[in-house]
Amino acid sequence: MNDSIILPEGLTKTAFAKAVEAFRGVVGADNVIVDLDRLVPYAKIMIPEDEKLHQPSAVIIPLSVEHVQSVVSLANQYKTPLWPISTGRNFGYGSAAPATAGQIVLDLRRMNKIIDVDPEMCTALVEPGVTYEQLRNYIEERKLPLWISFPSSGPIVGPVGNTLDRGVGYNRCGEHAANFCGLEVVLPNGELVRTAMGGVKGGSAWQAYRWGYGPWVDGLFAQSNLGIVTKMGLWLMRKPSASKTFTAVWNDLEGAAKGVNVLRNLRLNNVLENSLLGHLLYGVACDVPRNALYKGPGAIPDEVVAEIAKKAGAGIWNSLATLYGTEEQIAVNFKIVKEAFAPTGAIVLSEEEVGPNPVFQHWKGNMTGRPDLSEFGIYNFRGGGGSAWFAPLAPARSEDFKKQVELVKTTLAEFGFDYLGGFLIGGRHMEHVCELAFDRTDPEEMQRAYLCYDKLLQVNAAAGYAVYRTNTAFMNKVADIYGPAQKNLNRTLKRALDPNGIIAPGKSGIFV
Amino acid sequence: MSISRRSLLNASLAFTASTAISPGLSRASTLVAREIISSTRLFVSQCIAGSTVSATFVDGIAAGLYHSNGQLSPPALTPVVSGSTFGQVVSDLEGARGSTVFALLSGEDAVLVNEGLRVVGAKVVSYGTHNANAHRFVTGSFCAGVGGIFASSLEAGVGNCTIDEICLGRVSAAPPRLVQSGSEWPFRLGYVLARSMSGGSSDVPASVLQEGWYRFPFDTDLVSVVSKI
Ligand SMILES: Cc1cc2nc3c(=O)[nH]c(=O)nc-3n(C[C@H](O)[C@H](O)[C@H](O)COP(=O)(O)OP(=O)(O)OC[C@H]3O[C@@H](n4cnc5c(N)ncnc54)[C@H](O)[C@@H]3O)c2cc1C
Repeated sequence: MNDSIILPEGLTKTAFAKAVEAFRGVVGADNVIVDLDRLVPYAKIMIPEDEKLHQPSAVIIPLSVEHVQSVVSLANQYKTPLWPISTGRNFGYGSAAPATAGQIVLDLRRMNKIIDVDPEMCTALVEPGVTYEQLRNYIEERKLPLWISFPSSGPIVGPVGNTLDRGVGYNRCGEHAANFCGLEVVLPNGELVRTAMGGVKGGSAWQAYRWGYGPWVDGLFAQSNLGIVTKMGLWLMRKPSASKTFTAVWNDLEGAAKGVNVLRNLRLNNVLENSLLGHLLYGVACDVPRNALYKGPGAIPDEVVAEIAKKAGAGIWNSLATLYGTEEQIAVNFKIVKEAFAPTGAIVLSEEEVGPNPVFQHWKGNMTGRPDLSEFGIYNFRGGGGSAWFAPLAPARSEDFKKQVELVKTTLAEFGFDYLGGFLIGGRHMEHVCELAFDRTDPEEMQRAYLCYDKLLQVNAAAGYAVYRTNTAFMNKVADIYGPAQKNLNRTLKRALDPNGIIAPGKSGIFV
Repeated sequence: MSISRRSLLNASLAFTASTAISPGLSRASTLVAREIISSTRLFVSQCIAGSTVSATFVDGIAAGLYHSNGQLSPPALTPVVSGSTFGQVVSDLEGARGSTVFALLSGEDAVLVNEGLRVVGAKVVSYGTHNANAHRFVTGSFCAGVGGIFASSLEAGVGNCTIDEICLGRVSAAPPRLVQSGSEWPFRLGYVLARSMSGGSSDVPASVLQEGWYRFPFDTDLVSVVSKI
């Protein structure tokens, strides 16, 4: 073992070396990494903190459930914390690195079997290392009439990690936390449990019915540190015979705010099954470097954004959604959509009317089962590799939309950062997802980004809003916003299930 | 499935002035000799391939390798052509097994390459983020460290920039350094990275720096990676 400087908290070098030897005995020497150079890709983060604060002591790469169980037993014996990742691409939320330094990353990427895809039931059962691209290829190769729902970082990330962090996608099954069905989990004591119908011997309803019998515990394993998920059931969307992606655009905030109510109602009436409302600058930022748009001080001013919109022939606020069904259903629903939007002053455009447009095509792909990597262009926008998603949750109402835009945009501008945001309107709620792009080469700017994120949390909390998910630098602070009662309950559960605190200490601000 | 995207492409790897330069002025080396490089591969993002910034970086690498230990003949820098998917990035990296990889990448491609390096289990000796005003390196065991050497190499020039380095193998982070030059960083960076990998002085030969175009100010944010796969 080389000179790994960061050790798990409370462990001596000798004890750690013994633990590493024991882990190697389970998964093989090559699959326990302590070489500092091989740890660098695991330590590479984008959030506004130094790598040192999230540096793992080691990485273990198991191949099987039995490996995971043995590793967990040894972790209890040696008191080494394990930070599980599935594909480990939680970019802007902490990437593959742990919440606190010294934890051992448990990289499940080699456990990447697609165990089952059932085209009749529209379900799948997958291991944690499966990526969306892999799942899509599997479906395409077999010509199955199914579409997957995936996040915008789609091809290279995976359904297990995304769903466990309550990620979102863009088709009928886009609220991923509501569209998984059945988990297999290694508990902190090494025991294996299959949730809900998975407990019934010889049963075949594991991926068909979420709730099982007795308390529904699946939620305990999302955004938490109470177990390591080794299999997940997914609900997929049956490929419709037709689909129609369209956009509704507004140049004013008032119009877009009215649009939020319309989108909510269309969703609640099951006319729309997905919808987003994005600010122009995010789409532009995925394609054009910032210094080509603006070289002045501070955040890009509204007048400049208006000028960009004019030149691009685009709206400032752009809603995108896709109708699914038969041609007849779509024709009826598109008529309903157009009539509903008319009083808001929206211009509603079909694909033919939009013409060739890469942003439209990207979102259409997201809503019709075709992932691409185009949004990674956001990392060329400001440069310097800094990224933190700020994602407050609000009721899907016009007033909340306006309040959210005002709060977030003003706070970002106060710290000199651009508003790169959009709303995913999920029916009754909306996630306001904003990219805080900053330059990690500039220590002052990195500090400013940290303070900005902190202030964003504070001003939102003061107005009764909180993020639905956060990065590893702010997990404690967000847990505080959700209040002491929830914090205590989470700690009680943690102590009961994981008394040694070996699974992901600090995840969602939960410690033993 | 084919996911179309702008991806990595080989740079035009012509050795220019660097192959003809005379040995540099010597100063005490601050480099820790690392394994001699036997095979090198180069990745350059398509969006900068052929640009002055990538050409000067490549020249810097070529010059650095040429001068390493006075022993190596100019290496054949193997062009690496990447395709259109992440799978292709991974397979290009797999194809580079046994080599030292130097890369100069856009922020977008850097994310994918870092993930690819994680997948193939590569050692990442240095991961640098660069622009005209600042350079930030993350290193693993190489705490000698690339940032400090790079800072020394820049000190003779003009302009201001900060250089910061986080070394995973060192307990505390060294404070950032402010140096008086930034403009010709791609050449010097290439040179220092190549020299760091093979041991030897990091001083950039004066004759090379007389080439006027190395002083061109680059207003591009980029990422450099040195890895052993
Ligand atoms: C350009 C861009 C666009 C993006 N768009 C979206 C988007 O539209 N929607 C979205 O949701 N995200 C988005 N993201 C963020 C992120 O990339 C995705 O959420 C991604 O799916 C998370 O990474 P992953 O799938 O590799 O999960 P992982 O990183 O593997 O897992 C995420 C977290 O879940 C926990 N976890 C993982 N596996 C396990 C396990 N087996 N057992 C227990 N706990 C576990 C860990 O705490 C881990 O940190 C985007 C990122 C970028 C860069």
